[in-house]
Amino acid sequence: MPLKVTVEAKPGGTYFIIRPSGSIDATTFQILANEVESVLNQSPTLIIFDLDQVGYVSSAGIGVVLAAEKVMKKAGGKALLVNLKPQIRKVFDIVQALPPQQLFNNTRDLDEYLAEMQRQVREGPSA
Amino acid sequence: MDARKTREFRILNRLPELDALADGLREFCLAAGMSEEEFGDVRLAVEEAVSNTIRHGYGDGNDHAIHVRASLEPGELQLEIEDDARAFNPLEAPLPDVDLPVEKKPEGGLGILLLRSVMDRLDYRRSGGRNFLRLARRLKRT
Repeated sequence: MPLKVTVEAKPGGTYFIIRPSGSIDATTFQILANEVESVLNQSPTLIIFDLDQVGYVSSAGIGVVLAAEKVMKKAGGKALLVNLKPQIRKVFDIVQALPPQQLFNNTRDLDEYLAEMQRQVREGPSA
Repeated sequence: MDARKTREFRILNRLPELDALADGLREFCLAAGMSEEEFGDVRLAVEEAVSNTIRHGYGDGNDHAIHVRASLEPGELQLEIEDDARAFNPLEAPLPDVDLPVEKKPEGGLGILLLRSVMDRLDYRRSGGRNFLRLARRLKRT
């Protein structure tokens, strides 16, 4: 299945949502890798991979996410994954590509996490 | 031979051929009553094994055929992947240490880890200059 990728830049350009659609496999991963590279060049503090429209991911796709997380972490940011179908979640869990607290099964859980992050920025960490 | 229970696929050693292989496997697996989840594991294992062979198994730039045979047995799906690539036993390949912190986490070897994780049984032999990798996935019902 072909892969399409859309990128949404949030206001301020520090926060990007990358939405792949299709299969991320050995023949398509470079499409995603190219979009991720463009985003990383803008020095974001947060990248969110919304995998709602992804039906399949192989190690090639995981490699793209893992490489992005390495760059993000080095720069003090992070990558998050949201809307993982059970089969996709299983693959990420096997290889432990990201810490479990950076994986969100749905948008509501992610929104709560982001709201807490914003609260901490405003008020400082909870005691 | 019951065509609903056995099927052979032949592709060339080019990554784009994996799409047709995945389509054929999906058709076979779903017609056999397997779930999308079970097919997902089968696709993952076969693609990881075959893509590894295509990327690393040949150095001559020539076309090579890769054969994938699927066989539905009571309670499980069996697969055999045959190729004439360099000898490679994925059962002896070192697995990446996924417990390392992300900055030290290896990006290679993840495919072999996935292959070995989603299949219930693997067996490898080298015979006549060819690799034979057998995989088996237990099924909930067939």
